[in-house]
Amino acid sequence: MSSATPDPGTAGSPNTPDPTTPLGGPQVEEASPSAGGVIGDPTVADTSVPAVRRDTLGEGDNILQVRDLRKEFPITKGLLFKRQVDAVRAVDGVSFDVRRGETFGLVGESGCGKSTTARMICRLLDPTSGQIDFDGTDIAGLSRKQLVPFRRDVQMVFQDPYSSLNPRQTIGSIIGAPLDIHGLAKGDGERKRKVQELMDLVGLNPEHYNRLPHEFSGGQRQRIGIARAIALSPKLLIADEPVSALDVSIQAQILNLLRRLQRDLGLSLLFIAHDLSVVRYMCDRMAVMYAGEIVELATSEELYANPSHPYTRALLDAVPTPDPDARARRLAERGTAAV
Amino acid sequence: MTDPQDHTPAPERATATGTSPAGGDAGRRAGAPLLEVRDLRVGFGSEDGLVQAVGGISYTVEAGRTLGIVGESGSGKSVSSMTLMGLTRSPSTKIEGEVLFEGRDLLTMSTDELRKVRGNEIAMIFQDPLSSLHPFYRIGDQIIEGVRAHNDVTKKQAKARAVEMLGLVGIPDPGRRVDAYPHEFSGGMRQRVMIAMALANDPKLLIADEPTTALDVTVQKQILELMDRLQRELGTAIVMITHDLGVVAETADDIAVMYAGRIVERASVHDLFSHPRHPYTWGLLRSIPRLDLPRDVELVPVDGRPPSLIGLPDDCSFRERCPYAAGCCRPGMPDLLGADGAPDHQVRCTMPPERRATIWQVLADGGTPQEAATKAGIPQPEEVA
Repeated sequence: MSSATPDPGTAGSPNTPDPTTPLGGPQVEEASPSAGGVIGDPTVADTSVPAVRRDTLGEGDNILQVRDLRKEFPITKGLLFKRQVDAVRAVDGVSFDVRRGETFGLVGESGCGKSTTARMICRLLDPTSGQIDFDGTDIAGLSRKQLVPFRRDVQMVFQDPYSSLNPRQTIGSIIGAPLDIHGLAKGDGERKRKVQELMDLVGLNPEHYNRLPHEFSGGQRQRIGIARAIALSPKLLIADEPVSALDVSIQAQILNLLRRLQRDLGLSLLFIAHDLSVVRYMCDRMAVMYAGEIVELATSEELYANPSHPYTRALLDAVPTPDPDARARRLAERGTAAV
Repeated sequence: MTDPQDHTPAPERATATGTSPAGGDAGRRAGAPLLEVRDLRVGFGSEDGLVQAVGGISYTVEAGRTLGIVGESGSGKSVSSMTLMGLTRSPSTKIEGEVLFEGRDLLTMSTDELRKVRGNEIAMIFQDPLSSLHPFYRIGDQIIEGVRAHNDVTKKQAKARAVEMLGLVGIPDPGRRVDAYPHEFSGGMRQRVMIAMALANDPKLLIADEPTTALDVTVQKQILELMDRLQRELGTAIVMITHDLGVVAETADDIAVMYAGRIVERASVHDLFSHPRHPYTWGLLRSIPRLDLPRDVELVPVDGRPPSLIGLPDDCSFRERCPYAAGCCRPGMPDLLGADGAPDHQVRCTMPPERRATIWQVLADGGTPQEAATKAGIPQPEEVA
């Protein structure tokens, strides 16, 4: 890992995996990446990745195969003749599969590259190198025009339900827009009927067809975003932090909605979040990302029962448990079990 | 720091704050509460009418203890705490009640008097450490300003205090970093700077409003451990405001659950999690995914959403969303009363204790609210409708 690895926005923040560092002492958090511990060390990272990967790539019926995906953002210098002096490796050789009909989770802290990965899979960002096999076609190098049929099959649900809906469009036209673009609704009547079916499916009142986004709460807006995303019956739905902007009681409503849609519609779901308990609830299998790399990939049960990478263990250990007795037990155990 | 009359400048006292546990023990001595909030009401005038953000809350905080205030957005948890600090004062705000800090009413203090308390005896940490620090000034200068505003010390002494505090909160090389600008720090480090700034004058009370919400979990853990350690060493009382039940379970001694501007349940951290008594608390506990429970235990969201705070009727504000309201609710706002056999565990619900126990038993075992309601003999919503 070079000095350019951490996220451009929050330099230094991913380097916090060592739970044993005493608080009063020097913090790994501010340390340079090369001093960031095992995970930051290229030699250790390179040998440990194959060791922790319990998943066999290329097996099963995959809707999506990602191989050695990389994204570098150049760092330039000079005003007129910009020359590249270095690059931020936001995603550094990521490989995973999403099986048909499963929910696959990507989990990690800010700046680990999980959103960049999602955006490359949607081709909202162009990968620097690597393969994205979607349903048998490598879409990593396709042009905008070639991508048109693929756009129907991959849809995205965004994090912020406030900024991802056009405030001047009615709910009907927001959810109906994908139908119009792909010419799937003939005439206004059919479009309205289809949109209202979708609204009903995600738990919105179909009579609110003509309302504007500001008339809805955050949870309802997220339902609108989900209805829009499933309007085209996509083969793969990518949900990037779909609940992190929502209150806890609303969060559960949206998680259960996504679980129900996934089951009823047979969707394949790529679910991205920073919250481990949410990802565990949603996903069959999951990958933990750290500094642009996947450090561990396993089924949810396995990963939580036997985390094998030190970063996964640190991450799990850091999640606060809403059970004061568990906290006391853990504090008691900590004396003996050093991670 | 436990004597109200003690006005020794902080830098001189600071030598004793290193690792001495004496402060913490003395801070926990029995007696009058450090902070007592009595029937606090805060309303904001708006075009549509008065928004009653806080509808009458009372609580006490003892020296050296941590009170966790939990609630969702709009529950009034932040507004109530900002009101303590005088940060909601404006001509259109209607504030009633009493906030006694060591016997002095903060609400009736003039702005000048309050300014002497604020940042000195009571300090606050906000959610977003980037927007709470001034980007143009070195962090050291920002800490020094706070120290010199309340203590008659030279700039040099104040700077020494700033360096000491930065070291205390775990900033490496504090002597050099004191001259750095906020953008040179990561999110977690900025929050440490905020904590250093807040604690620079040895406050007796620290109000932390979602101090870790903007941070990654591994950083959150470090910040929470830091606050815990500083509390033990300095004896500071903490009001921890958060939406995260996990965070309060890890940090608080007592918990108040807020809903629609009122406290609906108040108990020690152990009682609240082992025997939650309010239906809203049940709803919260069952709607968060947990790592310590099997994966297939389905989440049970609280249906509906919080009521509008304009013209809120004098009635249980949770009734609309409560799955157990049928058959056991009486009209009118229930009082926050001690539960049966546990006077320190207060709940704002009139449900009979046996029924409450039956329902929570079913919910705790992973049952749905419908199953729980049936077991408790409550007609189900469908049947009622």
